[in-house]
Amino acid sequence: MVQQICRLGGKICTRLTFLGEIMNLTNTDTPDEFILEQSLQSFFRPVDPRPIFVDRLKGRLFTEPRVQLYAQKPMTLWLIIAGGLVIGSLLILLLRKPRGNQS
Amino acid sequence: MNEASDETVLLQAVGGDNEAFNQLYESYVGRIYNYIYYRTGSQHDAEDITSKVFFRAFNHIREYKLKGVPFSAWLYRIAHNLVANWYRDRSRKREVPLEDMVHLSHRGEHAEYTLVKTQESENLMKVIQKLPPERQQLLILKFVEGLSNVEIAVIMRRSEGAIKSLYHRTLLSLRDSVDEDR
Repeated sequence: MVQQICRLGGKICTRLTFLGEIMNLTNTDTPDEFILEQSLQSFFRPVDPRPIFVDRLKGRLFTEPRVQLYAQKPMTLWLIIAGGLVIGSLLILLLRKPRGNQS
Repeated sequence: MNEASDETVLLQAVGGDNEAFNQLYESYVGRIYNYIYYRTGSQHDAEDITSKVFFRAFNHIREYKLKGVPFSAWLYRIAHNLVANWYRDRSRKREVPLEDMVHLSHRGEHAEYTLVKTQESENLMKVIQKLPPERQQLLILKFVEGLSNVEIAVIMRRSEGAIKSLYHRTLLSLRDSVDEDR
């Protein structure tokens, strides 16, 4: 039907062809696909998580420290600053000229 | 949980209310577990990744935008990313304990019927495992979670039309693969 109308040509033809394609794409009721969908439906059955897992996770969620990552960020910053100061001090001590030997 | 109460609870959870987050957790833990279970095929990994999803959600709930994607889609995206990391880290694509999944699907049915169905399911599983991850994701969201194309489109960041088209192509490729196996 769509193809017959399309023989008339022009923009309408293009649009109808497109419409036909869309209809084909959305129509999944051919026997094979219907059977396949039914097989998928019976294959993919919902699986319940173990109740003990659900309860334990709930317990852990509200007892373990929240956002540890944020707590570590300032600590890392302080460590970098402290490390920089130590390395800087050592470099100054090593590279400065000894004053006592001047004559 | 309906949308209105979902939004109220979400508002409270975003504000730092643990009890509200607990309600969200109870509403979604089964769905997220299911999704991950069918992606990984392992109960142990499904539990591990589900834990990570909810810890990440709990830690970042304040960053969740109420006017953005639905909360379920936000959780599925976290789950999707963690499953992708799981595949990448362990480099064990499509290593699914097939027998566990197939037998689990047919508990409580007659022996002969189960035998035939199990054979069918094994073939189907083999074919599904060969699909690209996005197509597997689409099938799980559609059949396990029972989501609509619109909801799947939000989770997978595509248009509804693209999802319809992908679904159709997935069915065609599944049908061809099943035919080849026969």
